Amino acid sequence: MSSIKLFMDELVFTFKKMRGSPLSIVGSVIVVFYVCLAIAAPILAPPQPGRDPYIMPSYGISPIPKPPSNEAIWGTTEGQYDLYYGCIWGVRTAFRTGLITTAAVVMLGIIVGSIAGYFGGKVDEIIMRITDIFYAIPTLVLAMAIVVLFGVGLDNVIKALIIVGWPTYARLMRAEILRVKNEDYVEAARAIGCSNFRILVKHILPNAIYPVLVMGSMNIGNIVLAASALSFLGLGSPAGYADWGSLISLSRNWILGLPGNPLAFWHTYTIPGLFIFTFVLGWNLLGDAFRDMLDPLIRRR
Amino acid sequence: MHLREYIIRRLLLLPLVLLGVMLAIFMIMQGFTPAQRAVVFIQSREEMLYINEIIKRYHLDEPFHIQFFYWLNNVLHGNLGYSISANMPVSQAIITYFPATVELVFLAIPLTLLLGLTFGILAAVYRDSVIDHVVRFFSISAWSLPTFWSAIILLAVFYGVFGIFPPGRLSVQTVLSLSQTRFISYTGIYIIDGLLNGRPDVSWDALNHVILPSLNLAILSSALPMRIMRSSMLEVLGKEYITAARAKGLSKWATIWRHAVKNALIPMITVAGTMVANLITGVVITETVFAYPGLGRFAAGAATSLDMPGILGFALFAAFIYAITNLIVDVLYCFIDPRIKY
Amino acid sequence: MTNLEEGKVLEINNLVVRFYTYAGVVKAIDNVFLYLKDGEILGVVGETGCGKTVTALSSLRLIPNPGRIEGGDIFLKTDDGLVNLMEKNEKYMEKVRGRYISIVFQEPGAALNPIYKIGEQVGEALLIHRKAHYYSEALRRVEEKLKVERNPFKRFILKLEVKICEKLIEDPNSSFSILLSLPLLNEVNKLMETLIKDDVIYLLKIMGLPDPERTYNRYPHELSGGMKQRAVIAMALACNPKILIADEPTTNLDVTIEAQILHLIRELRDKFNSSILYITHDLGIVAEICDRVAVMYAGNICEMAGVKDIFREPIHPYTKALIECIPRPGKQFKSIPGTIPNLINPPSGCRFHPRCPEAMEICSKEAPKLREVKEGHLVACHLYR
Repeated sequence: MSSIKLFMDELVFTFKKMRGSPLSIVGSVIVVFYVCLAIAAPILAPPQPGRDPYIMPSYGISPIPKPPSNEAIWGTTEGQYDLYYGCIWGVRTAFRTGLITTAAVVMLGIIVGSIAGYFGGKVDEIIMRITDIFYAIPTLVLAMAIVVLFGVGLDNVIKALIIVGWPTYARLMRAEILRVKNEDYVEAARAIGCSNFRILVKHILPNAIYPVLVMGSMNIGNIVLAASALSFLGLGSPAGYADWGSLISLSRNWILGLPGNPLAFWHTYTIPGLFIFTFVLGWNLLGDAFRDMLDPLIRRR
Repeated sequence: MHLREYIIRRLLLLPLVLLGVMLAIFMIMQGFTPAQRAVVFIQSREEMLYINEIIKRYHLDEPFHIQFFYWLNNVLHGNLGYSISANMPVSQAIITYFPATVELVFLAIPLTLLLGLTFGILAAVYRDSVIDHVVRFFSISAWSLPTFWSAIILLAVFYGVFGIFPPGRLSVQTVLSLSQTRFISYTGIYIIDGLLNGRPDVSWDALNHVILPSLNLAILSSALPMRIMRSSMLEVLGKEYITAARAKGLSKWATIWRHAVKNALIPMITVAGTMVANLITGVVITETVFAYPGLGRFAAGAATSLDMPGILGFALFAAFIYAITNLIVDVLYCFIDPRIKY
Repeated sequence: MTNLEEGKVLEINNLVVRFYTYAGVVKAIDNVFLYLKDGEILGVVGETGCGKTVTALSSLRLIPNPGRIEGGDIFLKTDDGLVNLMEKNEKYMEKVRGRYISIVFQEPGAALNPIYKIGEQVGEALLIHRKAHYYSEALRRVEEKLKVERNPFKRFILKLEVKICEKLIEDPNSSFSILLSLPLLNEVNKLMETLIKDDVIYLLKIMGLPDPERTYNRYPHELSGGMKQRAVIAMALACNPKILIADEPTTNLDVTIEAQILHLIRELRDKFNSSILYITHDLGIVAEICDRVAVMYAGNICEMAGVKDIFREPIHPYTKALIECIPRPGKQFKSIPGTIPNLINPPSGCRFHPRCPEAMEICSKEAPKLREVKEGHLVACHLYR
C-alpha cells in the first residue's frame, strides 16, 4: 500500500537526520540499553519458580532495609525485598506502562482527532468542548481522582493516564488534519470521486499522522514519570511489585537513616531513583531530537 | 472598550467550564451506588449513620438531572462533602490548608522565575558556550527528574546529613510557644504573620521549613521557563531592532535588558498556564515528602485513603485556580504587547 | 593612505571579514578599500550577497557572531582628529555609533522595536549621546524654578536635585541617576522628558512625518512603510552624525514613497552637508543621487569612480556587464552567465574570473589590486595595470 511506503520513507529520512546530533545519540544509547535490560530481565534476575515474576523475592520479614550482601546484590528495601531484582524487573514494568499507555492514547487521539478534524461542524465543536473539560484540570490531579474512583492498582493507573492523556493527541491530530485537508491532493482525490473514508485513510492520515507519533515517542518519558509518581503516592502497584515508584515509596521511612549515620539506607532510594531518572532522560533526549527534526520536516513539505 | 468586553466574556466562560468539569465528574460518579455517592453530601462523621435519609434528601435514586441539580446547589453553597482523611468538611479542609500551600508557592514562584529566566537569558546571550550547554543539559535533566526523588534527596542531604531545613511547617517549640502566647493570624502565612506580630523568630522558623520544598518545586518548575526563555531570546536577538539599538550606541547589556528581554518575555506568558499546572502537580508530591501540611498533602492523603469527596473537592479547586490563571494570562497579554487588540 | 585630507571623512582599508560557520569559513570580505568624502553620496553597488551590508556593519564594528573582522583599518575623522576604529575598544565604539556614524536598514519597520512607542525610540537615540546636554538644560530650568519657589521644603528638594544634576553633568552615566527617578526627586527627569520630547517631535517634523505629536505616541505597527522608514531615518539622524549609511532603504517601499525618501536623502546632503554611504543593487538610484560609485563583487571592490565616469566609461568587465544588464526598451534581455561564487571556497585569484568574458591566465592565479587608472577612477583588474 502506498501509504505504508510513504510512512517508511519518512522514517528512514528521520533516522538519517538523527545521526547528526550528539544528544540524540546519547538518548538512543540509553533507550537501547534499557530495551536490552528489559529483554534480559529473566536472565539477569531469575524469577523464583511458580511465582509471578513481577513480585520481588523477599528475604525475611524485618522491616529494616539491609545493605548490599551476597544474597541481595544491591541490598534490600523495607520488607526485605531484593532491590536489584526490583529494579531490573522494574524496567519491564516501566516499558509496559509507557508503551501501553502511549499506544492507547495515540490510537484514541488519532481516531477522535480525525473525526473532529475531517467532519468539522457540530461534531468538531462537541469534541473540542470535551477536550476543554479535560484540559481544565491539571493532569496528575485528574489521574489521582480517577484512580480513587476506580480503585488502586497499576492497571487502573494505566487506565487513568489514558483517560487523562488522549485529549492532547486528539487536538494535535485534529490540527494536522485541518492543515492537510486544505492541500491540493485532497481536493484532487475528492474530484475523482473518492469516498470520505478512502480519502481519510489513504491520503490524509499518512501525512497528518507523523507529528502525532513523534509526540507520542516524546511523551513516553513523562508517562513513566507520572506513573511512578502515582505509585509513589501509593495509588499504583502494591508493595512488593517490581515498580520503581513503589520501591521508592518503600524507602520513605528510611530517608533519614539512623542516628549518627544519616545515609545508612541511601541505596533504597538512590538506586531506583537513578533508574527512573536515566530512563526518562533517555526518552526525553530522543524525543527532543525528534522534535528538532520535525520542524525542518514540516518546512520541507 | 474591547478589553472590558473581553474580560467580562472570559469571566462568564469561567463558571461554564467549571460546570462542564463538574458535569463530567458527576457522570463518572453515576457508576457507583447511591450509598457510595451519598458521601459527597455529608458534612460530618455522624451523618454517615443516616445514609438512607441522605439518599432521600438529595434524591440520589432519582434521574440524573435532578441529582445534578441538587448536587450543584450544594456545591454553590460551599458544601463539598465530608473528608474522612482530614476529618472535617472538604470546604473547611481547603480553607485550612490553603494558606500553607500559598506560603510555599509564594516562595517557589520567584525562585523559579529567577532561576529560569536568568539562565535562559544567559544561555541565549552566550550561545554555544559552556553556560549554554550547562543550561540545556540542566533543563532537560530537571524535566526528567521525578519530583519525589529530588525531594527525598534534598531531604536526606540537607536535613539528614547537615541537620538544617527540617521538614514540616513549624518546629515543635514554635508550635508550643504559639499555643501559649497571643498570635493573630492575619494572612495565614507564618513568614508574614510572624513579622506582623513582632515575632521574627516565628518567621525565621517558618522560612527554614519552607525553603527545601520551595527549592524542590523551583528546580522542577524552572526547566520549562529556562528552555522557553532561551529559545525566545535567541529569536529576539536575531531581530534587526536589536542591531539597530546597538547602532544607536546602546551598550550590549543595555540593549539586552531594554529591548531583548521585554520582547522575549511575551511568548513566556503562554507557558504560564502550563507552569501553574506543573506547580499544582509538584505541590502534591513535594508536600507529601516534606510532610508539609498544605493542600497538596491533603490531596495525597485523600487519594490514598480513597476519600472521594476529598479528592474531588481538590480537583475542583485545582481546576478553579487553573482557570483563573489562564484568564489572568490572557488579559496580561494585551497589556504587554501593544500589537494585540481585542 | 593614512591621511584623511582631501576632505575624506571615512576610509576603509584592507578590510577582511570572515564568518566561522558550521558549514565552513565564509570569506565574506576579502580585501575592501573605499573612502567617503565630506558632503558626498557614495553608492555601493553589487548583487545580493556580495558583502555590501557586511562592509557597512564593519565600519560600526557590529558584525554578529560567528563573524569576525580579521584585518584592516577603519579611519574616521572625529572631533578629536583622525582615529583608527580598529584600535578602539567597545566603549569607544558606543560613542561613535549613532553619533558619528549611523545606519538605516532595508526593512522599514525592522529597526523599530514593536513594543515601544516611536517617540520613545527616537528619544532613546537622543538620550544616549546627549545626556549631559539635557541635564544642563534641565538644570538651568530647575534653577529658574528655584528663584521663584517660596516653600522651604520644595526649595530643599530642588536644591538637592540641582546638586545631583551637577554631578550627572560631569558623569552622565553614574548611578546617581537612579536617585532622580525617585518620586519626590523627579523634577529633573520630568523636565528632561519634555525637552527630549520636543526635540523628537521637531525631528519627526523635518523628516516629513505628518502630525508629529500624534506620531510620537504611536506604535510601529500603526505606521505605514514609508512613515516607518522616515521614523527610522529620524532615529538615525537624531544626534547629527557626520556619516549616514543607508543599506537599501527603499528596496521594500513602493516607487512613490521611494522617490520621497530619495529626495529626503538628497536634502540631507545639500542642506545638512551629511556624507552618505548609499548601498543598493539598483543602478537607477545610483544614477539619480550618487556622486561617486563603488562596485562590489563577492567581497571585493572592482571599481570606484565618479558616477558619470562609471556610466559613461565603465572599465571593469563586471561593471560593464552590470550596465549592459539594465533593461532598455527595444534591447534584448541580457544577464551575466554563471552564479555568484560560494564564499567558503571562493575562486582563486580574481573572484570574478570564472564569469569574466575577458579572463586571462593570470586572473585565476593572482587577485588584482585596486589601482588608480584615471583621475579619481580606480579599478581592480589585470587588464589595466
